[in-house]
Amino acid sequence: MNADCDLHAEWGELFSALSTAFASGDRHTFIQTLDRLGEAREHALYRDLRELSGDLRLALEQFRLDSRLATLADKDIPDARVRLDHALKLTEEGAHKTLDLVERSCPLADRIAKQAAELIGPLRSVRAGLLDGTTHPESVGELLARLEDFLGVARRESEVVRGNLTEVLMAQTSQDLSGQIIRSVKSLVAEVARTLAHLSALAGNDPHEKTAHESLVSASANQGFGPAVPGLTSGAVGEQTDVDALLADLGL
Amino acid sequence: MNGQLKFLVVDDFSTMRRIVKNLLNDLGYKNVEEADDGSTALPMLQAGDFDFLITDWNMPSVPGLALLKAVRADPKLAKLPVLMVTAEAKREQIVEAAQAGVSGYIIKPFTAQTLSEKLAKILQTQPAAAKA
Repeated sequence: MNADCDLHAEWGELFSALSTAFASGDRHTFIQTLDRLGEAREHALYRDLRELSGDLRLALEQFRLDSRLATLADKDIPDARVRLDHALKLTEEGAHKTLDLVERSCPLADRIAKQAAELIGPLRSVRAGLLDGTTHPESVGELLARLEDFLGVARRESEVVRGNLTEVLMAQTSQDLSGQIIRSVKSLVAEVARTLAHLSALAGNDPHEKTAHESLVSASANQGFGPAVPGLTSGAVGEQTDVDALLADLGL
Repeated sequence: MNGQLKFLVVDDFSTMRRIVKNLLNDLGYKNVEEADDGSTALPMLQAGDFDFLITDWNMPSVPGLALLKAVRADPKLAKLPVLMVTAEAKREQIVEAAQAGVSGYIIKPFTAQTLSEKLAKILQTQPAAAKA
């Protein structure tokens, strides 16, 4: 029925003009109308062809996006997870290395401080004794020997602490490595977002339309949001003093 | 300061546990145990005579807020001082923690001095923490 209507709308006028010219034997009009019919037929053919090539282009685009998405899903994203795991491992190792060195250095610094403190008393009493002539030469010798021992220990252990500090410095290089990995994953995430947006646009979605799933992706307050990210996290306090002020308001 | 106090430090990151443990040691608290999640922490709290709980919020299985609520709901643990040390910094979360009965709240990154101050304040205002 519909096709009949289309047929009439499309060809009816030309066809009746043609048959009228034929019936009345008007050769000139008949040929002219026949030419117009031919042109119209050609035009319709081109239009169909254009539509077909448009569909083909869309299909190819879709296919390209689909195959890119497939690569992203099958390879790039699993790769990114492995890379992020590695970044996590690097930062963890760096932090543990630093903690090891700090734990090794603290007792050394403590020992130097303790031994120095223990020498102050004897040093003062020998000096006072030297002033009033009560100090025995032997106690001076004994103090000097203790001082020499201490200086030896202090020099040795300070060097160890100094070496540990250099290693602490070097342990921070993990930040550089993990930073590079995080940056590469960041660009991958951007590509996934772009590809999905293209696909969504091909499917006829309005990119500016708010979708219901937005509320689903946000973390729940109970589980925690993770560290506040400047420019991304809303409603976060800035510093510990803000927390203290807020808690004070709540009577804590 | 009472060096005999027994602490439980709960955080899913072992480095953060070590940092807090080292800071506590520096402050003279040598009796410190660790747990990596609220789910492992709660049985430890129920079984051991802990005097102080320091917990993270964002943990995989049982988060800190749920642990805090579980502690407050347990008659044996209800009075345990709980200090939250967390990267969670939203106002609504701090209010929620306060309403759930947190004793103190520190946001990461934090300093040794902040930890020392908050501990001192809690121990001063919550004598229940002092060992009999």
